[in-house]
Amino acid sequence: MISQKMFLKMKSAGVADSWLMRTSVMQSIMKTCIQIFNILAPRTGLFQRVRAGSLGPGNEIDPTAIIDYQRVIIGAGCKIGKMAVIEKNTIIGSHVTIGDFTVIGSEGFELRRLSGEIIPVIHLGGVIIHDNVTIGPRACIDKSSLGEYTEIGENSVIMEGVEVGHGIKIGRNVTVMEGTMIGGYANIGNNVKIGRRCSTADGLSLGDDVVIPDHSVVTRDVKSPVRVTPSDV
Amino acid sequence: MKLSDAFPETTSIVRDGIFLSAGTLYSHHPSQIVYLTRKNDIPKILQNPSISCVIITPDLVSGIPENIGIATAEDPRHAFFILQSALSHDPQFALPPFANRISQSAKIHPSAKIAPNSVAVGKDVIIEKNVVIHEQSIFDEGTIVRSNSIIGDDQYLSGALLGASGIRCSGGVHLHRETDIHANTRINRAFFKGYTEIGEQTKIDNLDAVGQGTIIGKRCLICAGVTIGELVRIGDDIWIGPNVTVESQVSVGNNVYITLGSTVRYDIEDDKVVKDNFAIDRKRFRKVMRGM
Repeated sequence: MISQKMFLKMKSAGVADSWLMRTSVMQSIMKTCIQIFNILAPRTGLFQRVRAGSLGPGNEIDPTAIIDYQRVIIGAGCKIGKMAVIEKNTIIGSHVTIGDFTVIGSEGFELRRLSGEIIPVIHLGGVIIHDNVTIGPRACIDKSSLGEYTEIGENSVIMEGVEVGHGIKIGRNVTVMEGTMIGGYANIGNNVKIGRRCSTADGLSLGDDVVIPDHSVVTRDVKSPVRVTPSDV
Repeated sequence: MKLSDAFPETTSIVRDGIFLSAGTLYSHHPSQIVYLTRKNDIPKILQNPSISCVIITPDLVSGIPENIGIATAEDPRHAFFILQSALSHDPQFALPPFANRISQSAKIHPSAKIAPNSVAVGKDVIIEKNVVIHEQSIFDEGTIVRSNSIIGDDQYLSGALLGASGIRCSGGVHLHRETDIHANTRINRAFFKGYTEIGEQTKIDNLDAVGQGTIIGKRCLICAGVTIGELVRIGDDIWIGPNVTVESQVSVGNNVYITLGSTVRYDIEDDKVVKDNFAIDRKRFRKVMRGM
């Protein structure tokens, strides 16, 4: 949690646009820090979360699905579709459906522009998918940075072609419709409904019972319980 | 190639000319042959100096400049693709095939499907699960392609066939140094001789689609769900937000910031912020935001 707050603070306009961060000395210090982290962190066990994999009974897993069984925990009664890819540090509850071509636990999109170069930040977190979640085909769920988890709450439905960014916490009974892109580190409450082809900014928080209509762009926090229109957000 | 050699029925040639490559009104191949169907497109010929021959309907001949060779056809598009189906097998008009060059230090997952020829994979390239790589794909060192992505796809061809059989893509895909292509992304290969290029250190997020012949500059960050059309030119140091659509044949300058959910329909100059269809100066945008 502290690591995520640190990342968000670093990304915020107050820090990232300040004169201190724009100086070449500070930029090169940041650059070397991130580069050392990228080399050292994956080699230590410090952020390694799922140490041993397990597979519950009654699962229907397609033979073409690629799952890192050593580092993935899967509950009972799950259904995993064709060509699905599940990377390490993923915890999946019971009765979860995962569609074809879905990628879970892929690298997040955390990049820094420092002294004229783009420096990626290696992700070491994982993904937790709670019970009775349905994930449609061609969806992408990224893992979180450092030791944190991207979470999807119970009974939620993630439809086709949805991107769930790194470090997102989705509550219970949430529906995310087709083609929606949810930015990183968002907090989404319970019983939220997000329409088709929406895009949300990163670090956003949506309260309980919020309904967001199709094709809207959300750049500010929405408190519960309201139904917003595209012109409001 | 001479226009009269390409079209043996001499009746359709109005003025002979020489062409060295095929292309469209928006591409810049040397001495290219293009087709034209609408009167409104004639000014674009004057703007594009690399056009040397056109295929056109008989009623539009009068508007074409004198230095350009002209062939006429009732359906120029159909005639052009019939010609292209022959040219795409000609080594002069297509990238030459070569034996696969795959570096020892490249990490390729066994489930990745790589074409049997014309793929070059450089040092320290990582290719993850279920990636499909078609012919004429070049990966420079340090490139990463993540799960379920498709590189060098030519599926859009079915729409352009128009009865021309045996048509092939003449170009390829070139991913420069340290590019990062995330999961479920598709990059089409160039239709004409040339490459769909992704510049150095450009990072492309999940679920994106890049059209044929598009050239993306260096150090760009392209977020999830972005659809980039055909023959788009994108400059350096760009940020493109989630769910953005960039229409075909648009050119975007350097240091542009395209906010989430926008649609880019017109050319964008350097240092602009694009918010839906409006473009404003980036420095002014920052000043306004600080003043609030």
